[in-house]
This record gives sequence, structure tokens and C-alpha cells, in this order.
Amino acid sequence: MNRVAASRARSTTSARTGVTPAARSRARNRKVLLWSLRLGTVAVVLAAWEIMAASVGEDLLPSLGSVVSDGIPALFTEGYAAEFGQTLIRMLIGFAIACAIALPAGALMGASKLWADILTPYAYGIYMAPRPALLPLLILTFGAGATFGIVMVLLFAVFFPLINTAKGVSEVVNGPLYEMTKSLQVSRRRVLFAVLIPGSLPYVLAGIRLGLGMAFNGILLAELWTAYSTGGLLEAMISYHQLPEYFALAGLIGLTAVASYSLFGVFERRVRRKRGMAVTGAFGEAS
Amino acid sequence: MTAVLSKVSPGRLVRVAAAIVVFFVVWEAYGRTGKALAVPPFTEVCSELAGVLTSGDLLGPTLGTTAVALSGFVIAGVLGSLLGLLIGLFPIFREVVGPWVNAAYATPMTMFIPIIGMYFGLGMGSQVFLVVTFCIFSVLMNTAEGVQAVPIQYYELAKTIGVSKLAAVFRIVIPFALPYVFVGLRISVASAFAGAITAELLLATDDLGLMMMTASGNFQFVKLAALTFYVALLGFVAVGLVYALERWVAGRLRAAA
Repeated sequence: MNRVAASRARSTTSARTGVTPAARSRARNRKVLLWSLRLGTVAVVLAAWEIMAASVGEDLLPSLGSVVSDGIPALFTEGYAAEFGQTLIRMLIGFAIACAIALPAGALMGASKLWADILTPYAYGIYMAPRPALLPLLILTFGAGATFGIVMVLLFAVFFPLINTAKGVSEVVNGPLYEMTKSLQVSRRRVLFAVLIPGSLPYVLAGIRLGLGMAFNGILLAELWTAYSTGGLLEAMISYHQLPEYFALAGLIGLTAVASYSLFGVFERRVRRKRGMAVTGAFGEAS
Repeated sequence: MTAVLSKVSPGRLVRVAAAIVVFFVVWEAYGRTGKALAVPPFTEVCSELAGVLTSGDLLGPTLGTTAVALSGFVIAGVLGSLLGLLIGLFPIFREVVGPWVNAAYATPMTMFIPIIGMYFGLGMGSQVFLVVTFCIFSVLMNTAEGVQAVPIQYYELAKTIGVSKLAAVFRIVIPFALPYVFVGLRISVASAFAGAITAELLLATDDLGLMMMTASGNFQFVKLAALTFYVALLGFVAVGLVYALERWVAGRLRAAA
């Protein structure tokens, strides 16, 4: 936070004094160096993969060539991608339910000390207990089908949106703007839409971003446990040594997860910048 | 996170306790209806747990599961804080490695369970590896955040009084970032137990995971519920221990400063 403020202060002073051409070219050089390093790491990783694959053999690690030529087409010809699409839909249903619980409950926790006291033990209880331990028990109630995955997603994903919404709302409620609306007797509706929601939005978005990551883990864990849908496919691909297919499917899952995470990150940064809030560094809020 | 729990007045304590009591009362009441196999009454679960505890059958598996969780936790703690320190200290490192870390964090590690089993064998090695993947990111990210949060004036002061860069890292950066590292550790200790149980259920069935699966296979659902409750309690104890350690270290740091 301090660092961000400090760097911002510095950048405004340099803007005022004017940037010299030398500084500009130095900045450009740095950017070129940065991107060549970034692309360089990609190249190094891919090269390392190929060397590893060549030395351990296709049975242990398929070459990138066979992932591209055998694995990726199979995603579509064998319907693996469509199956993952089904998994994704169940995950989104579970996550929507999680958010439908977490956002109002979080708002309650943030706005009222009483509700914070009542709900905090539940929030942290669900967070601290090793949730995968519930797999054998929950299967008794929900069976080995679609519902089971949805319930696991709910349990996995509810914490972050809940706790972040609570934090966001509590920051607004204890902030100066909210105090002002009280003394100016602004209508509750206006307060909700003009102060509360925009003020807590960056936190809510961070919660949703982190929760979404947990939702991916939850659904895959549930489906691996029951050998259902995508989880079943991943397991079968390893048992039958279809490694190019496994890496293609894992790559698709990973890309989807990373893309949704980054998308929310971009959206979040935009909202934060618009509201003049500190845009956190490379990692955002991990806690 | 701590702000929620920082001010503990008797009134709050009563409300929190009441909320917890309500949970167990509802559990008991719902269990008594006998509607769900997975939810035996709380009292029945407790007496079953007491039985398993006194039989001594839990000691070995508890130690085994804890060993997996602890090994992974320690490895992730060391690797995560070192990497976090590097990322926090060197901007170029942050900008090159940062995107990779972010991508790895967003990738659902659970999908690698089948292949981890293939690569690391169905033993403790693969279990510990899974725990490390569960734990490392929160330590790494929080450490990096802590290192970046060191006020720039501290560095300037160190430079003025002629402290070497390496000494500044040990005398200024690490003590400053330590509370952040502990937040990461506290978050990841819960993940460590989750990872260990996941590994024992899905990778190499062993210890507490094996006990749970045996109970489930023998239709001993009360025992299964008791074991699940026990695992949850273990998670709470572990988080509590790290929290206590955190406060102790914070006290020492404050005393030193």
C-alpha cells in the first residue's frame, strides 16, 4: 500500500517535471528486455518439456508434438471438450449458489456486528476444516452424480466471496462517505446503489475471483472421487496411458481456469483504478 | 482477517459461542430425525469418537496424516518464503516469474492427482508433493506482498547509515515481512491438512483416509461421521497452533524492536 502510494507520488512528480527523452528510451529498453525475458522463460519451459519427454520417453511424458497431433484433436473427436463443458456448467451452478449465499451473508456480516459475530464461526469453520474429508460422507447423501459436484463446489467456493464481501461492506460502512450520507439523510436506496455497492465492488470481485479458483478445485475433486464426467476421463486417461489426451484435457482445464481468473483480475483492476484505489501488485489480495 | 476477531468483548464471546452451540443443536436435532445417513446425531458421533479415541486405533493414523501434512507444510513454507522473498526483492524477477506464479495459482491442482500418482508412486512422496502444491502459493504470495510493503524510507535510511544490502535484507526486510509470511503460513496450514486428506483419499489410501474409507466400505456411517469430525478438529487445532506461534513471534519481534 505504502509502496504503491510512494510510487504514485513519484510518478506524478516526474510527470510534472517532464520526462526526458533519455528516460523514455530507458523505459522502452526495459520493456523490451522484460518481454524478451518473459518470452524467453516460455521458450525455456517448452524446451525443457521436449528434452524431458525425449529422455524419459513417450510413456511417461508425451512430446509437445504428440499432445498437439493426438491430444488436442481428441478433445473434439472424442467429445472430451464437450464433457468438460458439462462439468463447467455444474461448476457454475454450484458457484452461483455459493455467491447467492455468500454475497448477502457477507453484506450482513459487514454491516452488522451482531451478524458478524454469528456468522464468523461458520465462515472460518468451513474454511479451516479440511473440506476434502467430507467426500466420503457427502456421497452418502448426494450420491455419485451431478448434485455431489455442485455441493462440493458450494463448500469449496463459498468462503472467499463471503469474507471479502464482509470486508468490503464493513470498510464502506465504517468509512467517511457512509457517515456523510447518514447526516445528509440520503435515502436507503440511494445509499445502496451509490455508496455501498460501488464501494464494496472491488472486494466482492476479488472474492469472486478467488472463489472461482476454489470452485474449479472443488468440482474436479468431486468428479475424481466419483470417477464422474471430466474427473472420470482424467483418471481413465492415466490408467489407459493416454497421456497426450490427458495433457490436452488438463491444458484445456488449466487455460479455462487461468483465463477466468485473469479476466476477473483485469475487471477488478479497472474498477479499482476507476475508484482511485490502490491497484495491488502482481498478486492482488491473496489473503 | 484479524480485524474480525481482534476486539473480543464478553458480549461478542457469548454471541460467537451461541452461534456454535446452535450449530451442534441443529445437528443433533436433524440427526435424531434419521433422515440422512451421513448425519447421525451429534451425541452419537461424540460417543463413537470417544470410543475410537480410547481404543488407540487413531494414534498411528493421526501421526501418519500429520507427518504428511507437516512435511508438505515445511517444504512449502521454506520454498514459498524464499521464492516470495526473491519476487518481492527483485522487480525484474517479479515481472518475469510473477505471471507464471499467477497462472499456477489459478490452475486447479486437483486435476494433477492422477498423474502425480503415476510420477511419484503411490506413497508418501506423492502425498507430500500434493500437499506442497496445495500450500506453497499462499506463503509465496503473502511473503512477496510483505517484502514489497517495506517502506522505501527504510531502504533509504539503511543506505544512508551504510548498511550493506545483504544486511538490510536480514535486519530490515525479513523482520518487516515476517508477519505477512505468518499470514500465509496460517492460511496454508489449513490447506496442508486438506491436501494430506485429499492425498490419502484419492492418491495413496493410507492413515486417516484409509480409516475413513474402511468405515464407509463397512457401512459404519457413525464411525465415518466421527472420523470426519475428528479430521475437522485436527484442522482447527493446527490452525490454532500456527496462530499461537504467530502471536509469540510477533511478541518477540515487538520486544526486540
